[in-house]
Amino acid sequence: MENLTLLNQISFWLFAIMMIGGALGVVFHKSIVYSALLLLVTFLSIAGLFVLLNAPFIAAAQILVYGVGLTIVLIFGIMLTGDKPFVDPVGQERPKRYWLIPGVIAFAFMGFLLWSLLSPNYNFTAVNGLFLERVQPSIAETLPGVQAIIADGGVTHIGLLLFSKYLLPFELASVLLLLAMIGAIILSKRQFPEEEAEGEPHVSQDLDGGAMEGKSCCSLNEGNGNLASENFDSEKETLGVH
Amino acid sequence: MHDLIYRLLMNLGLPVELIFFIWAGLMFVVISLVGQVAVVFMVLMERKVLAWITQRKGPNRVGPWGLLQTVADGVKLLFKEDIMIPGQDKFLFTAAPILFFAPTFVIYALLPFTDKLLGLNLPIGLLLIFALSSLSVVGIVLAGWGSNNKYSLIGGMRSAAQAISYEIPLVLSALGVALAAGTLNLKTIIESQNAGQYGIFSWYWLSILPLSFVIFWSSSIAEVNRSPFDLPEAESELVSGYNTEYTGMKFALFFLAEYASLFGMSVLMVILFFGGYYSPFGGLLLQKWFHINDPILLEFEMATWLIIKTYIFIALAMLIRGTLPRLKPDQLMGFSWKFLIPLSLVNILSIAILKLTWIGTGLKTIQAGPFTFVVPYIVAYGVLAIVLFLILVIFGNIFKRKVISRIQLQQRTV
Amino acid sequence: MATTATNIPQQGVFLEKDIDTNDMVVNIGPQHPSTHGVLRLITTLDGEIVKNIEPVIGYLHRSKEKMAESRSLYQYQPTIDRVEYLSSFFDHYAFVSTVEAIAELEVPKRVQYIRMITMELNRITSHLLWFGTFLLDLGASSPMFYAFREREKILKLFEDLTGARMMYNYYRFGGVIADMPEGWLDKVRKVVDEFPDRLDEYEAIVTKNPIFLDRTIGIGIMSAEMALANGVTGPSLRASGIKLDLRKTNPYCSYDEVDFDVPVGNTGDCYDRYRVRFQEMRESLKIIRQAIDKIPGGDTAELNKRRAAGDETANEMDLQIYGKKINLITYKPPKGEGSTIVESPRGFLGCYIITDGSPKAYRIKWRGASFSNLSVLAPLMKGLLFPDLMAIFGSIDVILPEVDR
Repeated sequence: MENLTLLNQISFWLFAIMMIGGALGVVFHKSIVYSALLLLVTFLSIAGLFVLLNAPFIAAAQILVYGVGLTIVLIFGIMLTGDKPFVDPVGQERPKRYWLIPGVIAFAFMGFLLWSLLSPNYNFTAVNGLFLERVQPSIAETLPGVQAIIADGGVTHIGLLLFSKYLLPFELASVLLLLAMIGAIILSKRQFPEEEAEGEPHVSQDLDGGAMEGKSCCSLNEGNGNLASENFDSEKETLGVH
Repeated sequence: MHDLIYRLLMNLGLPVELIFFIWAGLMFVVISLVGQVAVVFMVLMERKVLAWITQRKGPNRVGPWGLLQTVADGVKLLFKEDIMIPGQDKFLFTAAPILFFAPTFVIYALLPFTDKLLGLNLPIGLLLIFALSSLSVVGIVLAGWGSNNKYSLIGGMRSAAQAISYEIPLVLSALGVALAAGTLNLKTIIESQNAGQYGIFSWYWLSILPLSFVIFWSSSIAEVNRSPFDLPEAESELVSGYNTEYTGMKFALFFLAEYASLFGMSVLMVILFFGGYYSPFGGLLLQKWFHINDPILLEFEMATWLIIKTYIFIALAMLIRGTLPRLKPDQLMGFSWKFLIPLSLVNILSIAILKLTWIGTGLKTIQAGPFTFVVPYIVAYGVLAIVLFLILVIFGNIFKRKVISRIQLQQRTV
Repeated sequence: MATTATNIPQQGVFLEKDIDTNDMVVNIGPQHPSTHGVLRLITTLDGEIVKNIEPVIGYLHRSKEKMAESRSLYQYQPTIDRVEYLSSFFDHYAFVSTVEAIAELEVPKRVQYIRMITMELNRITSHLLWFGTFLLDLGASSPMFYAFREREKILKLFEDLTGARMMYNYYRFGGVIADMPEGWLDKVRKVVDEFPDRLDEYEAIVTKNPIFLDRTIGIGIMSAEMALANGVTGPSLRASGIKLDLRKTNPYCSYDEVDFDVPVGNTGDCYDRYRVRFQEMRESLKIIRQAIDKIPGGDTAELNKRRAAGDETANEMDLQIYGKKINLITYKPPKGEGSTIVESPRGFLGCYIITDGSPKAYRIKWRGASFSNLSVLAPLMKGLLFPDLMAIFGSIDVILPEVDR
């Protein structure tokens, strides 16, 4: 694998382009289903980048979490927009000026990121020609314990960190998820009318023989019929239901 | 073999990158061929098994004993017209079978069929398999949506709900294995089951994780959409569910991928709970009893054991299909959320207790032996029983059919 | 999906307006695996929940009643088989016995017993087919094959008797077309004797299956009032707790001479309907067994021997297969009208005939049990889940040719 830096670079650019293209597509595509599909492309590309960074555990977690998450996005898309053709869910009469505020915020954020990237504190010295060299690979990989971390995909290390150093954020995140789940249950709970009375629907007593004219009369729960229904009850009980 | 091909390619003077690609491609072809052949015979086997259950003969016209039936069906599907009805989203309609098919076959690259026949020996193989199997649901949902058919849409929605619900107990029960073995690497999991050479007694399903196995089995059947959890394609309600509108090769892709995922899940189950490619007598018989150390013969023995075990589970899945009626969506969800998930959480807890208290080896592998399971059982499953009892007491009887009284009432008000 | 816009009382403090979701209208049928023929159900679904259901019938209308006006009764008779093709002995019985009532034809005892045996066997085949398809609707494929295996044996018996497996056309005015083949009763006895084991087998694989119980108990509860208001008859009505069986309350044929019970359910859910039908099969076996023992003249071989030996008692009225020799082709029943109701496997099967002295009937009206039984589907289904539709529809056992006629 030591000779595969070129491959790494090709893969990196491939994933990066796919990721950015996918992300742009998510934003600009009219149909929500396509957006979700492009989101999948984006997440898979991010997972690929994690693999390139020797973090296969995070890559797999990325796919696992977002693969399922994406399905939910798809369902929401289908549920909220209803029949096809899918229209822009936000609506056509969106006033143009509302673009302004999120646009400004987004550009400000991007500027901040660029500024912090280009600031001298950040050790980003490896832009060398078109391809990106790995930042001092030899030093990073010779650090004590790094090889062991790479060997098991970072599982142990991440696990230990999550349950020691980053315990609080971890638990906070889980509480947040729990809250979201409870919220979803409350929002989607169906309301049913209050139960009036327990009991089985029974045979009405006011039906008499005259209900059916002439030819036949219905005899209610007498003799054999009663027996039969009792048999039924006992059968159900023995089967462990009721 | 590895070295031979590798050297051959090197001697051709190809660049290393290209060799890497060729090598990966070759490996994938070999492994997906394993899958294809398995699927072809599984389809025949399923038809034969169902025929035996219902006292019929099953396919017996094409080839001896109907062996070529699936091949003939495949040829038929190849030549069938690819029908598209108006209003379908062409791109999604075409992409859906591919999205369903691809991840199920990529899984094969991660499964250790033998010691050497293994596409990628990843340290996180187990996790990646679940990740990939969760991806294939996207294909089903897209198929449901892109088909412009209401049955398909309902099937797709059901499939999504089902996959999300059953992913959780599936992963949680496999997590028990990961805890016990101390790794996510499938090969290490197999090796750690064979560590003491006790054979069947040290396989995880018997020695440490019987409950995990039961949970894993039920949710894996749900995960691969098989009866009694085959709601996405319930033929009595949804005609054929998400693949109602598919014909020809697109349908064949769905069909193949379904069987392929059943095969993959069965192999995974054997790896996690049944000692993978080792014999039930501990180690390999050729090595142990006949003292043969020829690596190729040993490979064959490994493959044989794995295939035998896998097909036992596949046959059981087919038996289940021939026996049980289908669940309803609410029962399906209830079974997962109210029963399997609490149970698997309790199971994880008990395994953690077992690991920390009895074995006391901290993060190391639990060495399962013939008698390890006696005391841990009492400790861990005692805790489990208490917790389960508490859950039952607190949340009421899960087997009580509350839904029924509700529905009954609704009817009366109508 | 999400929450519903309608039928939920507004009490949210979080949501001023519920999320707007559209109902989905699914057109189930006329061609669909579980509509048992060509029924169209316009179903309004909210997610998986059925909000409304509207059966559309008429796709199998073959103008059976109008046909009777243009052909003689004897010409009309073969087409009756198609009114309800799964239990056509009952249709024939209703038709033939109505004509017999109008013409006051006497029916020999032996014929009555033959009719009883065939009808009860036919009830079993019909219930068996129902059993198979009901389980198929619930998603279990194997019981269908088992049921067909047993049904096959009985159909073989019918084939021996009538020459047909489905469209029997066996009864005639005042008799049957031919006596039983020699040894036929023994064959029947053999089938009947091994049948209870098979029924136990089905019960073992189906009735105790927890998934089956989950899917049937408490689903589609039909109260007695509801059943009566919709004109539901047959096993579906008895499952609701009303013990109304024409064979008991109004014995025709020779049902008053045999001893049997009428199984009754008490809740009226799918499970009760299932159990009632299952018990009915056992009761039918009981009737057949008694009828074989009691049939005047016994097996045909025996009777022929007696006749050959010159035994005069073997030629008495009750041992004949015709009450009165009539020329069927030119048969003109007297002017009059009459009706019969039979307890068919699906409920009351009625036939009403007005004759005007010509070979043709002036008017024939059929009362199919399935038609009224189907009417209860929509009220039963409201608020249940989509798969329950198949369970309920399967459990009330509708056969479409009888609905449309």
